[in-house]
Amino acid sequence: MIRPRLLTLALLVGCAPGGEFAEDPAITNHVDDWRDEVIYQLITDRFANGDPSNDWGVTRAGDDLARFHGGDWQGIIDKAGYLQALGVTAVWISPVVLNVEEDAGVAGYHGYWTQDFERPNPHMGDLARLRELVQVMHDHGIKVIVDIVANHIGQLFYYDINQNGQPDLQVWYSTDGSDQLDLVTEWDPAWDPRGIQSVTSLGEAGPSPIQWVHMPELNRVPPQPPEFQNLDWYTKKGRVTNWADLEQVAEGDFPGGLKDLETANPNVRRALIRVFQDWITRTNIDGYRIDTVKHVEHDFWVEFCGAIREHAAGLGKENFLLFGEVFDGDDALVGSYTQDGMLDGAVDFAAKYQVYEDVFKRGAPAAQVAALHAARQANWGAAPQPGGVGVAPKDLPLGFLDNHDVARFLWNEPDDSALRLALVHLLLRDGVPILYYGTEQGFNGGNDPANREPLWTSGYDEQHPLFDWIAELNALRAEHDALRRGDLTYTWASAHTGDEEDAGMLAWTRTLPPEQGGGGALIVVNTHPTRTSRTALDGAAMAVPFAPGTVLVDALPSDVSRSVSVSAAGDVVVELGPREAAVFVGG
Amino acid sequence: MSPVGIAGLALAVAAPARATEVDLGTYGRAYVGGDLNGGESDPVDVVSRPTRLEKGPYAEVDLIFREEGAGDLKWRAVLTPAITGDLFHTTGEWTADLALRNLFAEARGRAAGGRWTAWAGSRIWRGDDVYLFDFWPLDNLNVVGAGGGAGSGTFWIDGLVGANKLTGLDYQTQSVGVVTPGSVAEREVEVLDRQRRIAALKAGGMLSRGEGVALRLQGYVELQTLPEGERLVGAERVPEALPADRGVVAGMQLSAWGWADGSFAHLWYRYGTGLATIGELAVPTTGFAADRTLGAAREHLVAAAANHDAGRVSVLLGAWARGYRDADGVEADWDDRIEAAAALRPTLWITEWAGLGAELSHQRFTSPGVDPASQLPGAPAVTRLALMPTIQAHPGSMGRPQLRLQYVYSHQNDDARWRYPEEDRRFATNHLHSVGAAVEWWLNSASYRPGGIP
Repeated sequence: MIRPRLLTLALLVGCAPGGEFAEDPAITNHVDDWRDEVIYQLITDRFANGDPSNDWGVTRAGDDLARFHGGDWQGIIDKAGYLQALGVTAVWISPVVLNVEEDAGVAGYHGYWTQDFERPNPHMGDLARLRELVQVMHDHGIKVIVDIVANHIGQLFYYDINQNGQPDLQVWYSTDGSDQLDLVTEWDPAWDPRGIQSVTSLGEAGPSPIQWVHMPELNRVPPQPPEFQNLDWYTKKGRVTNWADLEQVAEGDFPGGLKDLETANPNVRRALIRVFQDWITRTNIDGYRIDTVKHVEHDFWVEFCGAIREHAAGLGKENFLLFGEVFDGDDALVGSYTQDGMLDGAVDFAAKYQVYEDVFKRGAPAAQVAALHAARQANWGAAPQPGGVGVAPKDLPLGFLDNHDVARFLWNEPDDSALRLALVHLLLRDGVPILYYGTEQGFNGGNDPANREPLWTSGYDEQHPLFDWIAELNALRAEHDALRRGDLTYTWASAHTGDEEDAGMLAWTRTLPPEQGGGGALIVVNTHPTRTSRTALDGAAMAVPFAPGTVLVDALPSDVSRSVSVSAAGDVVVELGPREAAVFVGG
Repeated sequence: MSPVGIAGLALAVAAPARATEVDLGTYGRAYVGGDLNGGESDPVDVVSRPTRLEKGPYAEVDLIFREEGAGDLKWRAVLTPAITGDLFHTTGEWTADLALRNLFAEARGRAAGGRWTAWAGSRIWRGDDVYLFDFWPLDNLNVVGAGGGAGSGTFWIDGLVGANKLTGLDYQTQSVGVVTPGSVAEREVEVLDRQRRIAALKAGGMLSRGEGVALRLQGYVELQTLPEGERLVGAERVPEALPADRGVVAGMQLSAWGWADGSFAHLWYRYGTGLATIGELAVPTTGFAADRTLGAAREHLVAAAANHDAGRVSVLLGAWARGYRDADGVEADWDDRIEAAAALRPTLWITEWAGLGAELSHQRFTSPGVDPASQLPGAPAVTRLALMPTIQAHPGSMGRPQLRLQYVYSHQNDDARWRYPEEDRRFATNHLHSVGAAVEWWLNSASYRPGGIP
C-alpha cells in the first residue's frame, strides 16, 4: 500500500518515475561453468499463472491446448521455491517477444510467432516483470535462458499470387513454371526455388506481390521494428517441402506460414544482432536457446554468436550461453553448428533418438550410447568458442528426454522405470541436462500440443515420486564435482539385448584430473527391461580407473546398501536388476 | 461546487385541482471545436480525472412531482432521464445513449425538532465536487436501493443500502443460451447472478455558522461486498469460480464558505480498499490478486476545491492527488501510480454577464513500472492553458447558464505522447491547439443544487 506519508513525499519531489525494475539492470555473473547447471525448460504459458490480470483470451478448458492458458513471468517468480526444491539451476523460458495472437485458430501462446522483436509479450508480463523474474531467479541461484527465433517471423504477410489483393486459400500454381498446376494457399505456398511467382489467367507474371496483413485485433500487423518491413529482408520462396534439400531448409518458410528472414542479408543480420543484444542489456539474462538453427546459414551463426558474445562481454556478462535447436537425429549435422565461432553447444537430438528412445525406452543395445558419444567427439566443436563459455562444444551437449516438440517420454511408456533410468543417464552424463517441465509430475502427453499441459493441474506436488527422484539425482550431482565436470568414459556398453550375461548393461565413469581435485564416480545402469545383468561377459569384468581395493559405495537412495570393491586387476562386477541403477562415488 | 450560492429557477406548474406540484430542472453541456488543422480537437489527458474543458455533450432533465401528504409529510417523486453520446447533428446518425439517472420517491417529515427523510428507488447520491475536474472525490454513488437520514440544522446523518448487478465481462451476471425443455428452441438462462451490495453512511456537523465563515465537517464510510459466484467460460462452458470480494471507503470532508457571496472551499481525504477502489459502476479488468480478488488494492486520495468571487474577479481552484496500488502484488507495476492534477480558473468580469476567463492546469502521473509502450520509465504530464471569453446569466465562477469561446494550448511531454499509438496524431507532437465553443447550464438541477433535490 502507498502510505500517505510516501504519497506526500512523492508529490513534493515531483513524482520521480520508476521503481526498482524500471531501468536497465546491473549486469551480474552467475555461472562459473555451465556443466554445473541443470536446465529446466518450461513453457511460460503453461508453467504457472501468477497474474490473472494478463489473462486475455485465456481458455479455462484444460484440454484446449491450442489456446492461451494464463501462465506468465509472475508465475515463475512465485514458483522459484518449487524450482529450487527440484534442484534445477537454470530455467529456459519461452520467447519473450510480442507475438501474433492467433493464426488459423491456434493461439500464439508459445512465443514463436514474432511480430515485434523489441517488445515483451504482454500475456507474460511487462519489461519490469521480466527484469524482476531474472533478479528473483538469480536470488534463488537460478539462471535464466530466453528462447529466441532468428529464422522467421510470424505469418504477417501473404503472397498475392493472383494479384487480386486478398489472401486466397486456393490458387493454381506451378512450382517449376511448367503447365503442371497445383492448388496452393497464398498464405503458405509450397517451395519454389525461383521465389513465389505471380500467376494470372494468362500465365506467370513475375515475382508475386507481397501483402502485409493488417489485422490489429490479432496483432497480425507488419513486423517491428520498422526495418523488418523491408520486403527485401525475406526470402519469399514459399514453404519447405523437402527437408533433405538444404537450400529449402535454409531459405524456405517454416511450415505454418512463418516467413523466412533473408539471413544472408547483412542488414538483416545487423538488425537481428542488435535486437538480441538489447535483450541482454535490458534484462541481465544468462543465455539464449536459439530456435530453428538449421534453417539459417552456418556463417550467420558465426557472425551472430560472435557479436552477441562481444556485446555480453562488453556489458561485463561472462559465460553468456548460446545453444540451439538443430532438430535432427544426424549428430554430424547437429555438430556442424558447433564449429568455430558458432554455438557453445546444441540440444542433443541424436541422443534423444539413439539413446533415450532406442536404448532406454525400446531396449536397443547399450553400445549405441557409447558409439554416439564417440561420434560426438569428432562431430562437435573440439575447442571452446572464442569468447564463449570456456568449454568445448563436444563437452557441452545439452541432453534431453523430451521437449515441447516431441511426445513426452511417458507418452507410450506408462511404466516409469525406464524414465527413472533415463534420468540417471541424463543427469549424470556429460554436458548440461535439460528437464522438460512436467517430467517431475509424471506428465505423459503425446505430440504437440498434447505435451504442453498446464503444470498447475499437478498441484506442484513436491512429494511426487518422480519429483523426489529428480531432486535426489540433482542433489547428488551438486554434491560431487566429478558428476558435473568429470571426464566421461564408457566402461561398459553391452551390445546384447537378449539373455546374455551383460545384456542391457551400460556403465560410465566421471573422473576429474588431480589438478581439478581428483575424484571420480562410476555410474551403472541396466537398460534391459526384464532381466538381471552384470558388467561381465565370458569371464571378463569391467575395468575401471580406480585403484585396486577401492570400495565404491552406491549413493542412490535404496533400501539396501550396495558397494563394490575394485579388484586387484582393476575391475569390478556390478549386478543390477532390470532397469536398475547404481551410482558409486568414492569409497 | 459550492453548497450555497446557486440560484435555481423553479418552474412551478400550477395544479389547482390537486395539491401536486411539478418542478422541472435541467443540467446540460455541449462543446464544439477544432484542432486548427481541420480536425476535431481531441482531449489530451494522462490522468483518470482530467479537466473538463472539452467534455462531450450531456443533458438531463429533472422531473420532480411533489405532494403534501398526511400530517406534515411531504412527498416527491423524481425522474431524471439523461442523454449523452454523439449528437445527431455531428454524425448524422439517429443514435444516442439514454439512461434514467434518478427514479425514486422520497418522504420528508419532522420529528423531535429535527427533520427526517426516507427514500427508495434508483438515484444519484452524492455531495460536493471538484468542478474543474468533474470529480466527486468522496461521496458519490449511483445505486438502486433505499435510504434516509435525520438531523437538525447543526448535525445530520444520512445513509443508504443498495445493490447493482452490472452487466459486462460476465463478472456479476451472465446469461447463456440453453435448449428449452421439451423443445429445440433456445432460451436465455441467467447462470451467474451476484449483486454488488453497497452501504454508505455520512454524518456531518456545522463547526460554526451564522455571521462570517461557516465551517462544516463531514465523515463518510462506504462498504461494498460481492458474494462468490461461478461463471461459464468459453465455448466449452467450463465453470470458473469467482471469489467473494469486498472493499471499503473511509473519508472526511472539511468545507468552509460565507466570506463572500458564492465563495467556498472544500478539502477531502479518502482512503479506499479492494473493490471500492474502482467505483461502484466499474467491472474490474486488471489488477487482480492471484485469487482474482481486488482485496489488496489500496487508494489514497486528497482533493481540494475552492472559489472566490470578489466583484470583478472570480477565481476557481481544483486539485487532487491519488495514490493507487492494485491487488496483484507486483512491485514494479505500471498500473500502480501516483497521479495528480491541479487547475486554476480566474475570470475577469467586464460586465455582470460578460467576462474574460482563463484556465491553467497541470496533470501528471508517475509509476514504479515501465511504460508498456515506450519500454521506459515515464512520468506523463500535460500542461494546458485556456483563454475563455464568457457570457453567462449571473456573475461569478458558478453562474450558469454559460456560453464561452475557448482557445486551448496543451503541452504534453514525451512520456505523455506514448499514451497514443503512432498512428494517432497526438503521438506526433508535444504541442496541441484547439478552438471551440462550449455551453453549460444548470437550471433547478437536482445534480447541481445544494442538498440535491429541492
